[in-house]
Amino acid sequence: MSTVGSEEGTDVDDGTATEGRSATARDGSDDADDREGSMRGGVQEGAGDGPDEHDGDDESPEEAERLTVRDVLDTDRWVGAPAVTLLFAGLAIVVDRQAGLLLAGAVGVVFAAYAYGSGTPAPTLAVERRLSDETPGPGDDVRVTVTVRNEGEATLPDLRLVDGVPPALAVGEGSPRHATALRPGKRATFSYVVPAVRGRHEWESMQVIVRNAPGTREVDATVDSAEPTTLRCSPDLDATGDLPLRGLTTQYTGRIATDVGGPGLEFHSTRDYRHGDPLNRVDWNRMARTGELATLDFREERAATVVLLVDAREEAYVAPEPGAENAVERSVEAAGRSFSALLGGGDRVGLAALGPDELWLAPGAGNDHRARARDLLASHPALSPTPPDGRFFPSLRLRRLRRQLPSDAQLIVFSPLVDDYVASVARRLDAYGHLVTVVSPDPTAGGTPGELLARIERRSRISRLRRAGLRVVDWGDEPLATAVAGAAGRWSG
Amino acid sequence: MSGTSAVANDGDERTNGHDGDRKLAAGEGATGSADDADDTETHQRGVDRSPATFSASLSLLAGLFSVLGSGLGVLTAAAPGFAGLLVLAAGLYRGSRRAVTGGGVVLLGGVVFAGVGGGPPAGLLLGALGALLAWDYGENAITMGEQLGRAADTRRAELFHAAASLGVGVVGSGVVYGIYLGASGGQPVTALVFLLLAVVLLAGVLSE
Repeated sequence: MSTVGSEEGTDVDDGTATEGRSATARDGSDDADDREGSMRGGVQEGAGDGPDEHDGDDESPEEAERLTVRDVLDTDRWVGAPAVTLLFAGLAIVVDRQAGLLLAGAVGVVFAAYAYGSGTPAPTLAVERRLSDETPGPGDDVRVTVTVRNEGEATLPDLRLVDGVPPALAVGEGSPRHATALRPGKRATFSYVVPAVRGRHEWESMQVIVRNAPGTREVDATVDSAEPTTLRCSPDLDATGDLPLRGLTTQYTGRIATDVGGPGLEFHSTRDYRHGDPLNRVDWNRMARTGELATLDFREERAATVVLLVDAREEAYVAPEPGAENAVERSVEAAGRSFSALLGGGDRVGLAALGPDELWLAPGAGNDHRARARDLLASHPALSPTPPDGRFFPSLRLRRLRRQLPSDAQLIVFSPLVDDYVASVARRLDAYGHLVTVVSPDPTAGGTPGELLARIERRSRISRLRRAGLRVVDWGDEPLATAVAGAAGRWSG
Repeated sequence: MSGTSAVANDGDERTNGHDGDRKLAAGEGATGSADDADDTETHQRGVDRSPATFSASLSLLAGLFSVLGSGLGVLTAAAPGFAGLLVLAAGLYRGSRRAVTGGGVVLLGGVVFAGVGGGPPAGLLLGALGALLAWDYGENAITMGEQLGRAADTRRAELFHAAASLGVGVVGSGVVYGIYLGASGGQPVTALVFLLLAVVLLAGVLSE
């Protein structure tokens, strides 16, 4: 099913043609000079008379709509009509006084009068938008139902509507456009489906084109709904795939086996007994064999502080093909999953973005922290599903990031690695002592020679990073966990 | 590096694709009515911008009536009429305003042909009315297609427009024909021409 165009009032009474003409005649009375006023009249009014017109469903009382006229223009339709008349009339004289031709030409006058006699429509509209689900999960279909009501006194003979779908959302089913004719007080409803995309999406004003019946005058306006329509779509932070961390840890107990001997599970070494060592770590077997006291050391398991750094520069908004998920989307998804997994493992996790908008969530733990991260990943402007507008200052951002990073933090960088910048940032941060793991969603395609070249460049960039001692997960189409498992097999220590 | 930009471009396109949808959702209202449809069309992928089917078929129907009207008395006048119908159909198929207007003009040419050949006044009236309505519906179909696309439900607005034009045309021609019948008492055609001219000018002045 696509758009539903049901109008209450389609069924009722009188002929449309006469209705249309009487309406335009009425319009004609408030002509040019009056126009501005009547437009502005459309800006509010109708605040009081809204509710009683509803046929008893659960809507809240509509408030004053906001209609802004952007342009009023002549479409120059029917300008040729008088010419047709004159042509026929002239011919009628030339060709032996044919009255029939003259008669045919008179039709031109009829339409010319129709065109001249119709004034500019003065729309007063109320728009209401309803979402089937305001907080869907990513990929869920959300049905948007739009109701437009003619709040004015006159019939709007030709009303063309284009809904202001948020930039990041693509309409899946149905159409966000609609055309109708509305008598005073009547409503038109249409609906369409958008698959939800991560983020906070606000609907923009609806574009409205109102024409008079002959189509000679056109009012181009925008209407806002009484309440802003917002769709919030948060990614679910399900923890898949343990991302093995590197050896840089804090002094707190966690799950990363370190090279430090002490209490723990995995055998590390034995050493001479020192006074005060706990009894349960004394090597009793050895004591029985040789009579010497020795102490077992285990690999200490500690927690790490991890900062997830998402590459959200304009360059990172790349996808293998139009319509595919872009690399930033995939990065954010991976960051969300890692965040959850790491937090679950007892590590302290923070968030940062490399992009024009600053995003910094200091490493932390706990449910509050998880909720805050989820919120940031869902709707922070730095991670928006569409490329940022602002300028990005690389060195400034890097300097600030270094100041913010706790000294014992390791980094997981999420970047498609389509240029050298992030690779160099990763190497520099690694050199500063923040051990770096790079998770790189692969945005390259293999069709054209240019795409192949980009793919090869990216691969060589990855191998350069690996040579420099950084861990890189090259994440293709497979699930992240698979990619991590594949890459982790090669890692040591 | 050029390779990198190739990827980057791909991504850009993708985001533009998204963006484009917004632009077409948001921006086209402003441009749609004018003739810069070609301009908008290139940017907007994914939306079928061909003329609205309902108005287009009404346009062809009106064109057919026009041919009928011109061919009523003078059968040969149906030939240019049919040519006009073909041009009209081509224009509607391709979404070309110029072709639709051309088709309307050729249809009117058929009416002139019939008039010169001495066709009956009622037939000529029907021919002219049909030609003007064919152009009106056709142009409306194109505008509707450009502004909203074929996927949108535009039926009601098209119907209203068509009915309004038809009503005006039929009532107007009826009045004209009535005057003709009542006053066909041998007034010189030239006088009637000047009368018509006066009406046109008056209408023009009143509209200012």
